[in-house]
Amino acid sequence: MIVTNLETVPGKRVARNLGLVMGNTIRAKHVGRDLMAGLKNIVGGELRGYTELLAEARKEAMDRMLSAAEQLGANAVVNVRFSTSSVTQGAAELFAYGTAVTVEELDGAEAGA
Amino acid sequence: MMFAILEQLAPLIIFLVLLAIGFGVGRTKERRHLKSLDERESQAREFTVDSLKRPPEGVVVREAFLCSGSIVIGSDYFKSVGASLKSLVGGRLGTFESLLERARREATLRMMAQAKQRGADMVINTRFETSSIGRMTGNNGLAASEIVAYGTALTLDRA
Repeated sequence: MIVTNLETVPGKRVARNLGLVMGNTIRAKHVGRDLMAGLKNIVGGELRGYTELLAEARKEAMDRMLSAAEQLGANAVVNVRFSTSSVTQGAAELFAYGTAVTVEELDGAEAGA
Repeated sequence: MMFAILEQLAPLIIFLVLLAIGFGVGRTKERRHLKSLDERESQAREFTVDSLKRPPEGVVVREAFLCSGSIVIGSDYFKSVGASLKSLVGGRLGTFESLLERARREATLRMMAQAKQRGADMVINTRFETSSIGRMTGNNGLAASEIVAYGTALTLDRA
């Protein structure tokens, strides 16, 4: 599966547009991590626990988007966007969306152009 | 008598100690981070990262894939207190500006590292997303922001 945040896939041609696909996940941070982060807030700097938590969650949202695209028979998802919002205190929603398409190799003449 | 006074002053002392730790450690960490950013950025100078929607004219793209880098950065105690005071009168919060700038540079570098690791030659259409986790001001609750940088990494065919 090819994934880009461009409107096309460079070097390939979009053959069919299969429409919007999306995936989301909501994660709550656990108390231990919150406590550590609270301490970390005294000295500042990166909160590594949260970086990992959110990266992992975003990957899950992406995976859900990709499996939705697979079900539609797509071989690429273009124009992918991310969005994050906090739902309740201590929980965040990670959301990924894009357009599922099928792409084909360009033939020689077009590739040269 | 002495003890009673100390007990009265305890919250103030704790506050001042936290403020001093925040100022000292926070500032050292910030300086170290900026230095490391400068170093890594100068090493990566030949690697093109842009925010254009199309690859440059004349290149032949072999492969394209999504790459991203993220960081959650927290404010220190001194900055949080300073900001809550500053927000009484309004105006720029310079301390938070530098905090987010640092985070954005770090996220970009992480995105580039991911792209390079998979053999990319450049990253185009870079986008940033910022979201705050908890409050950036106030003494209770967390003051942190997440920055995500993402873009399309390209591997090029050298003709």
